[in-house]
Amino acid sequence: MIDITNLRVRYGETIAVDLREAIHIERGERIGIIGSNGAGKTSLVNALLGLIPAEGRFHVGVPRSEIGVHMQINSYAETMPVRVIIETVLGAPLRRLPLVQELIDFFNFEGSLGKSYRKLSGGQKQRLTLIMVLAMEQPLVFFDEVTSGLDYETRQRLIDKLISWYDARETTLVMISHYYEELENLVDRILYLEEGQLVAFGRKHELFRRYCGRTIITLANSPEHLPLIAGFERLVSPEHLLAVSCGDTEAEARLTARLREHNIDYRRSSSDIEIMSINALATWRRQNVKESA
Amino acid sequence: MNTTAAKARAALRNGRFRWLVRYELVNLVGVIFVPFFGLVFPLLMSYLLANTALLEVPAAFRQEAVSRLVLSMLQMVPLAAVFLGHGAIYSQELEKQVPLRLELFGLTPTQQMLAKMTATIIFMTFALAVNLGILIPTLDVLLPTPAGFGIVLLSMYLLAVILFMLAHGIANWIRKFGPTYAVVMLLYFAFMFLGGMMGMSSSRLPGPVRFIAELLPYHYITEDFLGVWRGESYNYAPFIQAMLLLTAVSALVMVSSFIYRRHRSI
Repeated sequence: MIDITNLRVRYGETIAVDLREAIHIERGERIGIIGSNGAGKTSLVNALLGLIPAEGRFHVGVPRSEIGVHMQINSYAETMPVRVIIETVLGAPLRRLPLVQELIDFFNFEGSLGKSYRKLSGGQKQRLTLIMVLAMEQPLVFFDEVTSGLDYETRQRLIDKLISWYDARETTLVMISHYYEELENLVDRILYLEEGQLVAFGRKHELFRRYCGRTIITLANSPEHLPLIAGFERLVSPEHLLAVSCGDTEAEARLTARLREHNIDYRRSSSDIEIMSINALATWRRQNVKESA
Repeated sequence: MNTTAAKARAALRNGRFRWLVRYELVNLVGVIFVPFFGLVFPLLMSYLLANTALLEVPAAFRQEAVSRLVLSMLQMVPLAAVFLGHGAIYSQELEKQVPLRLELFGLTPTQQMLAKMTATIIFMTFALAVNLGILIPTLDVLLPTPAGFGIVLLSMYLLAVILFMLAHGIANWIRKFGPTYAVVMLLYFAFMFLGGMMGMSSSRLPGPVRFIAELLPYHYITEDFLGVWRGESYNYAPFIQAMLLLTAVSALVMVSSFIYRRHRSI
C-alpha cells in the first residue's frame, strides 16, 4: 500500500524528514507513527498525501481521492449547517446514509446536526470530521492526533469505536498519536521518528523484544526501591518510574518475588510502547554518537 | 480491494457536485453582506437616487434617466455577489484551510471552483430577477426589446465570470481574509465610482480618470446600454475591447496565483 525507499522533506534550510531506510506497509496493516513534537510525523504524512513537496522514491498504492484523512485542523465554512456539510461530503441526504446515522448515534451527535459549524465545540468539530472519514470507508486512512483535545473518557470511547470499526474491515491505517495507550490495541507496527529520521520501524512485539526484552517490570522511582532491582537489567524510563527488563521467566519470577516480599506495587508488561520508545531512542542516540565519533 | 466498495466510492465522487453547489449556495447567502450588497443594496440605491438626484430631471426625460440609473445599478449585482462575496468568502476559507479539508474528502480544487462559480451564478440570477422584477414596475423603467434584454443579461453573466476569476486570483494570491477583503472592497468602490454607479457620470470625470474609466466595461453599460436595452443599434467595439482587457487582467491574476501557489503547498 505504501512503499518508501527514501524520502526527504525540506522547509528552506531545515530538513523536516530524512528517511533513508526502506519502509514497506502492506494492505490492511495498522501503523502507529510516534515521535516528539517536531519529529516530522505530520510532514511525513503530508508528503505521502502530496500536500507538500518531497524528494525521494516513495509510492502510495491508491489515488488521493481514495485516502481518508483526519488532520489536526479540520475546518469548514463557519456559517454552514452541520447537516449540509455531511450531505455534501457524502453526496446523499442523511436519511439515505444508515452508516452515518449509526455513527451519529454512537458519537451522540444528533443534537449538533442542526447547528452551524461555528457553534460546535472543539470536541464536536473533531467528531464531525471523524464521522465523515469513517463513513467514507476508504482503503487507506490517516489519522493525525485524532483524539487531541478530547477528554479522557471520550478518548477511550473513541478508540474503542475505532478498534471495533476497523476490526471488520481491511483498511490500511496510519495513525499519528502521542497517546501510546491508544496505539496498544489499534496498531500492529510502530514507526518511530525523531528529528525527521527513523529511530525504529517494526512490529510492536518485535520492537519491544529488541529494546526491552521479554517482559518489563515497572515500579515507582524512589531511593528505597533501587537496592531491590540491583542485579537486574535496568531500562531507561520516565523519571517517576524504575523499569527493569526481564529476559526470561526465571528473572521475572525472582524480581516479582522480591517486590512482593517487600510489599512493593509493580506493573508487568510485555508490550509497553512508552518504555520501548524511550529505550529505542536511547539506543538510536548512542549509535548516532558512535557514528559521529 | 473490494470492487463493490470501489464502485460505490466512484459513484460517490461523481454524484457529489450538485451537493457541493448547494453547499456553496448556503455558504454564499450565509454571509450577510452578500445578500445585502448583491440583493438589497442595488434596490435601495435605485430608489434613493431616483427620489433624490433625479427629482430635478424634467418630466419628459425622467423615465429615460431612471431607466439608465436602474441599468447602472444592476451592475452592482455581479460586483457584490460575485466579486466582493467570492473574494471575501474564499480568502477566509483559504486562511482556515477549508478547501484543503474538502480536497482531502476527494472534492478536487476544480470541482470546488466550478461549484462556487455555479452557486454565485445561481444567486446572481435570483438577485437580478428580484431587482428587475421590483424596479421595472415600481420605478416605471422603459421596457426592453427581447434582444436588448438578452444582451444586457449576457453582459452581466460575462462580467460575473470575469469578476469571479479576478476575485479567485486575488484571494488565492493573498490567502488572508483581512488584506483580501481590503483589496476587493477598494476595487469594488473604484469600479462603482469609475462606472458611474455612485451618482456621478463617468463622462464628467477629469481627463486621466476618465481615460481609466473608459478602459472598464462599466462605463459603457452605464452610459450606452439604455440604447442597447431598447434595441437601438450600437457600436460594441469599445465595450468588447474593455471586456477583453478586464478578462485578460483577471485571467492573468488567477493563473499566476495558481502557478505561485503550486510551489507553496499548505
